Order: sequence, then C-alpha cells, then structure tokens
Amino acid sequence: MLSEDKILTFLKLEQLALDIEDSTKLLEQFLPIVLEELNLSGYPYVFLSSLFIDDEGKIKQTFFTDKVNKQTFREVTKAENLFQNETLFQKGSEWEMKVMYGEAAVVSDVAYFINPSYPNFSQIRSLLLLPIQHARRLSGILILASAKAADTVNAEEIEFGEMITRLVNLSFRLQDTEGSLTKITKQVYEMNAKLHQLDKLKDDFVSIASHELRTPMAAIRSYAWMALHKSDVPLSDKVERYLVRVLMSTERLINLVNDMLNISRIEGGKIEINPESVDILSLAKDVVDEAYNSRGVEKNIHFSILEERLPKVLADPEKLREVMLNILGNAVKFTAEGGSIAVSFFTDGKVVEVSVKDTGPGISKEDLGKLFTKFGRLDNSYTALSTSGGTGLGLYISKSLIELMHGKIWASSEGVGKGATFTFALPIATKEILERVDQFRIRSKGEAKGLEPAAI
Amino acid sequence: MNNKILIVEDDQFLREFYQELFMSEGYLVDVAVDGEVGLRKLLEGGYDLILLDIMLPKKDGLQLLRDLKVQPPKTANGPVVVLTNLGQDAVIKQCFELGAVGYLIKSALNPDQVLQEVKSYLK
Repeated sequence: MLSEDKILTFLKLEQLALDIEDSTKLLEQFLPIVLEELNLSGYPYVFLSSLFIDDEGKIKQTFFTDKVNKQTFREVTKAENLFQNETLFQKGSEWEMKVMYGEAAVVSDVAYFINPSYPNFSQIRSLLLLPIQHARRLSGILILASAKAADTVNAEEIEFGEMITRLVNLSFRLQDTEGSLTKITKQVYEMNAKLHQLDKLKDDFVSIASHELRTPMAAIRSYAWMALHKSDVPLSDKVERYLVRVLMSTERLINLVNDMLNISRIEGGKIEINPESVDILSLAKDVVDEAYNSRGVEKNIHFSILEERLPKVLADPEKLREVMLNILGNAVKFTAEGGSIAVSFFTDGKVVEVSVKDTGPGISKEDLGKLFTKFGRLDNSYTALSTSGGTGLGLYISKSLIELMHGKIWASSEGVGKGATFTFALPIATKEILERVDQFRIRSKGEAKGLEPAAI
Repeated sequence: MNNKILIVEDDQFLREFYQELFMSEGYLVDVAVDGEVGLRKLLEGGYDLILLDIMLPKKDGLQLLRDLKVQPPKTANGPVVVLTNLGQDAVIKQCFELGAVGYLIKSALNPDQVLQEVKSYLK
C-alpha cells in the first residue's frame, strides 16, 4: 500500500502532466519535475531516464534528466553515451525476462547499463527498471538510478515507480499524438500548396492548348469555307456535300473546345457574375432574332414570343444571354423543318420563369435527369447532334450559370414525340434585392475570364 | 485608291489565307511573320488597316502595340484590329486600352464574316 503522501505526490504530478500546454515538449518539461518530486518523497535518485524501444528492442527515443541540473535531454545521441547498449532484451537474463513480462526489476550491475564516463556514475548503486507498456506490449523502460543499494528497494518504492511509469507513458502518448498532428497539418498544408500549383498549371495548359487547337481549326474552317463558296471550278454534288460536312465538323470541334474552356473557367471559379436589373423580354427577343436568323430561317421554324409586362430580373446580362442562346439553339436543333418554338413567361412575384417550348422529338421521363450533366446527351439525340454542332456540354454550362445567378433550370416533356419545354427561373430585381446586390455578386478567383462565344 | 492592309500573323496557312482573301477582294496586302517585322513595317506606316495577332514570335502583339504608342510611325496608320484565337478577358481589355479598335476571334468567324468586319472598320 502506498502512503498518503505518495498518493498526493502522484495526483499532483498527474495534474501537472495534464496542465502542460505545449504538448510537443511535454516530457522535457515534465520529467525534471518528476525527478524532483521523487527526491522530495525520500527517494535519492541520481537520474531518471525513459527509453522507448521498437519491436526488435532497439532504442528509438530516449529522455534523460539528471539530479544535478534538472534538465531533460531528448536527443538519442546524447543518451548513447550514457547507455552501454543500443539494443535491450538480447540476452534473456533474469531482469530482461521480468521486464518483458511487465514486472519491475532491480539490478546492481550498474556498469552493464551505464557508461562509466557518466560524471555521477560513482553515486549510482542500483537501477530500478520499470516496464512501460502500451497496448499490452512493452514499449520502453523507465530507469531510475538510485544511490541506494539494490536490497533496500521495497515493494512500496516499486509500486510508486510503477505509477510514475504510467504517467510518463501517458505524457509520451500525448506528446506523440500532438507531434503527429503537427506533422499532418504540415503535410496537408504542403499538399494544398502543391494542388494550387497543379491547378495553375492545368489552367495554363487549358488556355494554351485551346489556343493552339483553335489555330489549325481556324485554318481548316477558312479553307473549307473558301473551297465551298469561292471555288474556281464548279463543285460536284458529292464534293459539295463533303465540304459541308468538313465545315460542320470543324465548327463542332471549335464549339467543343470553347465549351470545355468555359467549363474549366466555371469550375475553377474564374467566372465573374455581375448582377444587374435586366429586361428579360427584350433580351429574349434579341436572342430569338439571332437564333431565327442563324438557322431558324433555313429550317422554316415558326417562332412566337408571348409578350407581357414583366418585372425586371436580377442577372448578369452576358451570362443570361449565353443561357438563352443555348436553350433556343437546342430548340432549333431538335425541331424538325416547319416546326415551331414558343417562348413564354410566368411570374409569381418572386421569380420570373422563362419557358422555351419546341415541337421536337421530346424526352422520355428517365432521360430528363441526364440532360444537365456533362456529355449527358441522350441515345436518340446523337443523330441530331452530329449534324448540328452540338457538344453535349451546353446544358451543363447553362445550369452552372443559372445557379451562379441564384436561379433554377429544369426540363419537362410529355413524352417522346411530344416536344420538350426548358424553363429557367431568376429572382425579380426587387428594391430589397437591389439593395443587397453585392451578395449576388461573384468575384473570380484569380484572373477573371469571360465566356467563349456560344454556338447556336 | 485601294486600301492597304497589313496582316501580322505567324501561322503560315492562316497568313496566306487572309492574304489571298483580301487580295481577291481588291485590297493591297502586306504581311509580317512576327512582332518585330510587324513593328518595323508599322513604323514605316501608311496602312489603312492592320490585322494583328497576339501570340507572335519575337514580340507579341501587346508589346507591339505598346512600342507603337511611344514611337510614332513615319506615315500615319489606320485602325488596328486584333485577329487572334486568345479569348481571355484580360487580353481583350489590354488590347483596347492599347488602342485596338476591334477584337476578332479567328476560329469563331467564317471568311465572309472576317471580310464584313474589316470593311466596317475601313469605312
């Protein structure tokens, strides 16, 4: 049984170990106090040292504190001079067996352990070796070098030593955890810096690659156009058809590069949203004109806009135009010759909804969800896309842009063969919203980049 | 009198293409294969319109515009229209700040559109 003063000393030390704030130096600060308290409790220990070993019994880390200067040295190299052996538990001696099985051992063969050059060597008459256990395995030894002979060590001293050992182990684990956390934080930080660098490289690559890709594509486009329109010999139907297809495929390729560039900008946070009050009706009319003139005319598509008085919406006009162009462009692509496209509006006082309804092939229920994903084109739409310059990225871009503007976009269809309706909703530019317009503004991370021209 | 156009373009196919395109429309066309040649020709001056690429060997288009600002040409030139494939906002903004009057993306335009644009700047 421990006497009351020993228990008090133990509790005091325990509190101390928990109170030390800089956990990375916990043992360095804690061990001198332990040695001092032990001396005060009537145990004249010359030094206290804790050795932590690996699975082979090799000493990994040592802590040492000395009665004289009460300093803790944590360098393994410093302790190498103190201890005679770098590896313990090789000989199978009695003390080794005891310690291995978790029992304390007292040895008087001081010279086997301690280098005689240690200045206080002559004061040491015995060593108390206490096993440090962690997860039911031996992880080290606490060595107390006593000025008393081995036969004077009693059960109480050993019991007290064992309790102190537990505290030392606890402190070591705390310190270890803290150390690993610091290391992990550092690694995460470094990794993050590396990722930023890679992101920058990717951005540079994307813009340079797209420029490099567009140069030969511009040449193909230009020469094919000239061959088709400015040939100095009459073209056969066959050659003309070939050239039309070269031109269409090139345009499709250019659109694809532009869309990929736009996605990389949107996903990289390089797009700015500058919201303002927008007259959506006049913007819609402009875009309808553009869509009609580009391809609507040749397909003889009938356009209608249901004009009505509408409140202004809060949006970035350039991005909104991009979305309108995409949705109307899709409607034109998928509507057969002689079909019709109707643009209509709806408002509930909070948002304005813009709907574009076409008489195209329609979309099955299960396909509606795929529409707004990257390359989320539908099986039955491949034919239409290959002849119309579609990229499979337009709706994904539109959805991203609408969401950046605090809006929503969705599609509906009554089924295959019944046409489709694409609708997006944007907040009304009320006085209250315009007062806090800054909350709707999005600044670009790094250099701002606009969008590449949309394809119709 | 026929309008005189300078095309500063490093890509041989595109350079020859634009040259042929404008010559077939009756323009007098001169070409430069890099920024240094471009600047030298522009300092001699006398062009009614300049089509300038941005990514150019030896001296890029932006630097050429900067140099042009500090060195006046012997004979005054007409407007500079940038004809490039770079679409970055920052570049576009800089071009206008440095005195360009137009910005055309090569891959986005068919030849007839390029001609139309150029005609509109020559008026």
